[in-house]
This record gives sequence, structure tokens and C-alpha cells, in this order.
Amino acid sequence: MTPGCACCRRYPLFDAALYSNMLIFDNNSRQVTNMDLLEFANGPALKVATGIFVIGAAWRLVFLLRMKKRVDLSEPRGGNETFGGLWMIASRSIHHGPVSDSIKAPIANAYLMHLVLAIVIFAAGAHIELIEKTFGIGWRELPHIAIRIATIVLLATIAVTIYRRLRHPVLRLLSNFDDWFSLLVTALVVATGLISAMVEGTDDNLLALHILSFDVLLIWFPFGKLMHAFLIFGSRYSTGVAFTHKGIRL
Amino acid sequence: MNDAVQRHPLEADKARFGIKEPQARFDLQGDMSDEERVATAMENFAKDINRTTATYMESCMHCGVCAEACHYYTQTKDPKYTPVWKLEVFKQAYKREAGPFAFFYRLFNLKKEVTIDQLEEWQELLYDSCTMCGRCSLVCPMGIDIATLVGQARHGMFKAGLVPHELHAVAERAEVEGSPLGATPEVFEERAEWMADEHETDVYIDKERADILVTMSSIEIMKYPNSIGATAKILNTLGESWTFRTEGYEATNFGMMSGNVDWQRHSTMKLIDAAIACGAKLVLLPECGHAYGALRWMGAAMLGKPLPFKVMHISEYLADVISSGRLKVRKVDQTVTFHDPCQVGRRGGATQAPRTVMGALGVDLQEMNPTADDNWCCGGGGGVVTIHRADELRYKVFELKMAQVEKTGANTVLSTCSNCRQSINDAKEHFNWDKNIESLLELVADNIIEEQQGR
Repeated sequence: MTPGCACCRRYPLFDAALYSNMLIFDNNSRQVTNMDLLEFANGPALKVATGIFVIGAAWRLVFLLRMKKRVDLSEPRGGNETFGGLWMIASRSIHHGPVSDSIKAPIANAYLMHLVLAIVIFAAGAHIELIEKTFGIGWRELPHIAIRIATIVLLATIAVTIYRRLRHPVLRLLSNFDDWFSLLVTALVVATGLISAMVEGTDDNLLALHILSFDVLLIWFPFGKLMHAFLIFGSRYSTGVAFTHKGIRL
Repeated sequence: MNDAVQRHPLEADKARFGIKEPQARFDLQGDMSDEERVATAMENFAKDINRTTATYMESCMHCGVCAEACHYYTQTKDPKYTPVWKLEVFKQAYKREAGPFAFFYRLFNLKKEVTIDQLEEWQELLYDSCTMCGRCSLVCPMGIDIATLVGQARHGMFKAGLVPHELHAVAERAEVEGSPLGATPEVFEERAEWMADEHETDVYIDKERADILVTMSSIEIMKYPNSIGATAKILNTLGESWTFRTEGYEATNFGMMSGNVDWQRHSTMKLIDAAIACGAKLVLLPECGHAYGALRWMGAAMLGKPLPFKVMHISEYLADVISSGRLKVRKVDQTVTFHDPCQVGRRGGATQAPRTVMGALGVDLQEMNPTADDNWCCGGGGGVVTIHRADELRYKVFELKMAQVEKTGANTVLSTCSNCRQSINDAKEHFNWDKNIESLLELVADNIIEEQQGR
């Protein structure tokens, strides 16, 4: 069991003993209520969701990689194009380009969202335990209070994003089902995770809901904008290479 | 006279040299059915989809940051001018017809079929309100080169006969007459002769062999012919072996701007063939932004192999010969600001060249804010200046440029693009603005120190 992890002790789902192998739930080693729902969420639903995620994401990426590649025959200006591509992957993660002050607060909100998202995913004890059991590598968790604060901040940044998407004329025009569903399913995963960790004495329904919403997120991931987590590398790299070829500022 | 030339008369006595405002607009070309137009647009858009552009189409997060970089959005606050929204119908078609999950999109009708009404509506977004200046491409967090996608969308629009009247007209004139603005070989030769007299220099035309093939833009030939004399004077001072060739002197490429790849190729191949015919080692491009992109960056793709000669914008050439000490210029006691042509600087990578030249001239350069790669577009690029119905919007956008210039305190704006120059002159007339737009090339030519080392 994860040392010092109150929610994991309360919900032994994340106990190492619960996993007979990667993401497979062992029924016999726990004592929880609402077993069916939790078992479903963490068992077959998670397996199916993971399968759809892996196959869907791979299909989308392989589909793109198999497309014809444009070869620029023009005389290059002379920069190292591979470096330019890699540099753009990094540099576009930093505030860049000629944008007005009005966009700086939303950009800061997006930075914060991704930062605390990374903290919640990779520094929460339960998640680290899961990663360790799945991939065989683990690291020290952050204190629960830090994770809870990060999760609340994460929810706040998502709320700001939703509010802005509802209010800003450009975002209202651009937004489609993908935008709303991706935001809402992410918010649901985060909110249920937070509640299930914070509320004492609740049954496993909340945890099951947390895992079920995560299953939905995994299923949706390859089809919608959440794929930007992968696509960002190809998109930025391609432009970095093309711009370096022409000597354009990255 | 060719039918297209008669149908599209020119207007030579205005600040903007272009097609006369049509009494009846024909923004749909050809006699295709609506269904055929939609199918043709999508088919020709899809033809250009490659790994990079498909990745772009997949990657947009709808963050809207690009809107803040677009002069059309920032000046109007109309969300339809958000750069990536200008691609919406093509994104819709891509996802439904060509993307990795097209099957699902079609099966469940998750993305509807694009309609002719949508395409007609998008004509304004793709042509009237996008100069393909690429400012949006600088800010996209995903690194999507939106300007490239707009150019690609125009390919589909042209084939479907969905090009604004005047832009189609100049492109058609260029294809049938060799010049969008009436700069036929005869006219060009006459004007070159005139400029030779005016500048008391030699202008070489159709020399059998030359190291440098010199080209001009149609706007320069017809409206700012001093460019011919200025270029000749500089090259003669340097003792260069150079020539114009009547089979390829016109660097303007309205095929590219309107979206007709075949016409783009014809225009480009004239220059390439002319250069090869005279054994040129260098093709010198004029003060024209899109001409630079058309040959320097897209010429090899038109030829299908690397170009057998170097290509330089005139500002790059001037920076080169000045930096190497071959060309010496007098100091100019003048306060100026500089307007960066998007296609040479931000999109072309030659942002520093004019600054090297201005540094040698010793002008008091008051940079705009923002400037260089981040500079605001003049609003006339991408063929927009030709479209009369876009005038009001173009002037609205130009207010941004006016404010930028005003803040510098300079009375003279220098630039290295005749299309920017024309757009600014036209807006100057419209607003009764008291600033002047001048050519950097001409300023250099006027201030050459005659005793040069030469080669």
C-alpha cells in the first residue's frame, strides 16, 4: 500500500496487490463495497478504453506518418533544419510572437493548467503507484495537501477556460463538440478524483466514477483535440524545419 | 486584343494600378453546377495534402490565439476573421473525406458535407481578408503554418471557379498576355528604353549571355518604372554582366496568388527558362514580396528539381554588394521608417537585408513597433489590393499601419515591395495622409558613389 497515502488506504484500489498484471484487477484481495461498478470501471472498461486509446492514437499518428512527405527542393538558407524543428518544439512552449496584451492572461492560464495537470498526474501517490505497477518505474509522491491544492487550481484553470470559451466571440465561433467534450470529460476526471480523495467515509462509487470518467477520457482521446499531446510534436517540428530552411525566425 | 484583356480593362490613372471596378461582378467563374464546384474545390484542395498539411489540419486546438495576430481581426473584432476559421470549410472537408477517421465522420455524418453556400461565403475569408502575411503562423502554439493552408485552400477555390472577379481577371490577363497589368514585352521594352534615357544608363535586353537575369514586377514596370533605371544604374556601376529577357522579365505571379497552380507554373517557368537560356548564375528579383516567394521558395517545386541558379531579392543583393564593399553609397541625412514586406521578411527570411542597406546609407531609421518579422502587413498583399469590394476593409486594416508609422515620427516610409508601396500610396490618397512611401532600391541608386571598385 502506498505509504502515507490516506485515500489509497481508504480505497485499496491502488494497492499493488490489487493488480495481478498490468491494469488487471484482482477481485480476491480487497474488501470494498459496490464491487461491481468499481470492478467494471477498473477492469474490463479500463482494458477496453486502454485498447481504444492505444489503437486509436496509433492509427491517427500512423495515418499521418504514412502520408506523402513534401520535399523542399529550394536552396536552403543554411540552418540546421533538424535542430530548427526540435527548437520549435521547445520554443513554442514559451510565450512567443506578436500577440496583444489581451491574450497574455489566457496564455498564462493555459500554462498553469498544463503545469498543475502534470503535477496531479505524475506526483499524486495513487497515480505514481499505478504507473509503477504498470511500467515498473516510480518516484516520490508530493504531499497530499500539495496534490489537493494543485487539483483545485487545475479545476479553476479549467473553469476559466470554459468561461472564456463561453464568453469570447472568437472562441464561441471556433468551439465545437470536441472542444466542449474534451474540457468537460477532463474536468470530470479531475473533479471526481479530488472528491474521492477528500471526502471521508464515502463508498467506492466516487472512485468508480473517477475511473469510469478516466475510461471515457481514454476512449475519447484519440478522436478529439486531446491528441494535441502527441500532434504538437509533429506540427511544431514540421514548421520548425520549413522555417529553418527559409531562414525564417522560429 | 485578347478577349480577357478587353473584358478586364485597366485603370492606370489611380494610385492603385489595377482592374477597373467591374460594373457587374463575376465572382463565380465557369459554368459548373453547384455540386461540381464543391467537388472540384475539395478534390483540388485534397491534392495538396501531405504529411505536414494533414498534421496541421489535425492539430488545431481552437485556442483562438491566431486571431490576436491578424490585422483583420484586431481591426474589426469580427471573429470570422480569425485566421484558422478561414480554413474551417476545408478542415470540415478534410475530416469528412480525407482524415484518419473520415469513415466515422461520414458514417455518422459527424461532419456535414461542404455546401456551395459555404464556399461562396468563404471566398471573402480566403481572398478579401487574408494577405497570407503569416503573422498568425508566428503565434500558433501548435506551430501550424496557417498561411500555407490558406494558399492551399485557394488552389481548390480557383479550380472551382470561386475567385473574386478582379483577382481572377489579373491572373487571367497574366496568363494570356504575359502580364497582369499590361506590361507586355513591347510595353516593357518601351519603358526600359525610356528609363535608360531618364537615368542616363544602359539597359540590356535579350543579351545572349549574362551572369544575372534581372526581373521586374508589373507594378514597377507600369507604375514605378524608376526601378528599372535604378537597378540598371547599380548593376552597371558594379560592372555586372546582366540582362532582361523578353521571354521572362515579369516576376509577378498572380497564378500563385489567385490559386491557379498551372498558371503559377507558367509564370515561374518563363523566368527559369529565360535564366537558363542566357546562362544566368543569378536571378535578381525585384522589389516585390510575393515574387520572392514564388521563385526563391517555390520555383524549384515548379521545375521539379533544384534551380540551376541562385535567386536573390534585390534587397539581399544590395546588402551583399554593400557589405562586401563592392558598392559604396553616400550617407543620407533623412529620418525614415521601414515597412517590412511580409513575403520577403517574415515569410522569406530576408528581414535583415534592408537594414544592412539602410545602415550603410546612414539614414535615421525609426523602427515601427512591432517591426521586422512581427511587422503589421500593409493589407494589400495576397492579391487583396486588386479586389475593389475589399477596399473598405483594407482601409480599415491600414489604419493600423498608419498608427504605427505616426508613432515613429518619420515622414518617409521605405519599403522593398512595390505592391506594399502601391497599397500604401492608395491608402495615402484615400486618407489624405501626409506620409510618403519610397523605394529603398531607388534611394540606393540615387546615392551611389560613382567611383566604385566594381568587381
